Amino acid sequence: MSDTARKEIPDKPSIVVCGDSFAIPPDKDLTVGPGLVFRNNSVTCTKPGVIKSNDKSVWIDRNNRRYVPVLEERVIGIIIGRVMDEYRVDIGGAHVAMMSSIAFEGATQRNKPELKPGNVVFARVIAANKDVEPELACVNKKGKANGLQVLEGGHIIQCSLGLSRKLRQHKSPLTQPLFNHFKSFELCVGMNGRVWVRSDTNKHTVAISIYLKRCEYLCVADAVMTLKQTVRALG
Amino acid sequence: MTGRAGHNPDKRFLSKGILQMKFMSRSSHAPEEVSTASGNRDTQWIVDSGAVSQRNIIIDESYMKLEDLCEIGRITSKQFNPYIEKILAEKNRLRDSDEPSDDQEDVQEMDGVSASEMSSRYNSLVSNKKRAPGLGDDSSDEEETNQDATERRKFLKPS
Repeated sequence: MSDTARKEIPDKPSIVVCGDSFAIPPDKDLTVGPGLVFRNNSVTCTKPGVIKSNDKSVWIDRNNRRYVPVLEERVIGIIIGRVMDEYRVDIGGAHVAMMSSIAFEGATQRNKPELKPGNVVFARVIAANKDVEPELACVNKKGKANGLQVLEGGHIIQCSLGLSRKLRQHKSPLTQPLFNHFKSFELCVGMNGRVWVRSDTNKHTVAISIYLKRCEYLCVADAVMTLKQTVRALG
Repeated sequence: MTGRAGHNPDKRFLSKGILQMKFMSRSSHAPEEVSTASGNRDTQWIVDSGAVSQRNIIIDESYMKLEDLCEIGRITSKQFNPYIEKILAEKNRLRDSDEPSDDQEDVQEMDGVSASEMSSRYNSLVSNKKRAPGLGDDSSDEEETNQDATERRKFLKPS
């Protein structure tokens, strides 16, 4: 343990396992990301994966399937019920999230959207604590929707959290082929591994859904090839 | 005589019987309770993580900032959803110009008041309370108060 604690954080991404420890220079400011804990002037891995770092931060990059709510993340939730003035929302985590019925832009006690079980919302996590249920809202801190809303129509697919992160990258290589093959479509990617797809025709929606599911296991080139085949087969 | 002893804060003047009564024992314990409460008030917010505060270690469980992911999480093509297209265009503009977004602005506002700004503001409030409003600016008020203090200190020998 003492030998491993003397190691410094590698510059290049490298595989680590639980218990691996890396020393930090004494006067360095650092952001410790998921999969790591800071203890005794070093960071210790709590999850296996690939350790990545830059000048200001260090984190473990790994693929998960179960979502753990984190503050300020945007997730896709499905309404499963209502308790008084709050909706119970399934966000794919260990606990059901709660969302106030007036947590929408411009909503008041008299004028608020009436949601039913099965409705889909794109919401922000405003409270995430291990001791209480997570809480959602469809507004940002200034009370604006800013893309958070009830999602109507479309189709939801479930993917891993790693794939949802890849889809949310700026100019992601996974989403670029979609712009070449489809004239009009819309994606909404939640950090909880749910992707909402909508397009002008149902065939295109199905094709995009199949493509995104295959991106989980295939490289981009192979996934694009299957996308072409799917589009051809659907006509 | 007992009345005088009642006004005196020193409890030695009260009889033992009175001091043992319930309401008297309560009052004798009251100052101790206040002191312990104030002690708790100071210590309850201190987290036992001195090393973390010294080194400025930030714990962030989200990948959003670490991997520089898209905050909006929406993608649309060729004006299929103009509302989202507009939001994305605005976001890209802010990103290119390195301006803070709405959420980041909020965070800056929350911890935006520095200690020096707070103290200067508080000083102006105190001076306004002492004087009636609309009698000049803060600097002139301070000078006048200083003059008053020197005048007060002056000792006049009795004739």
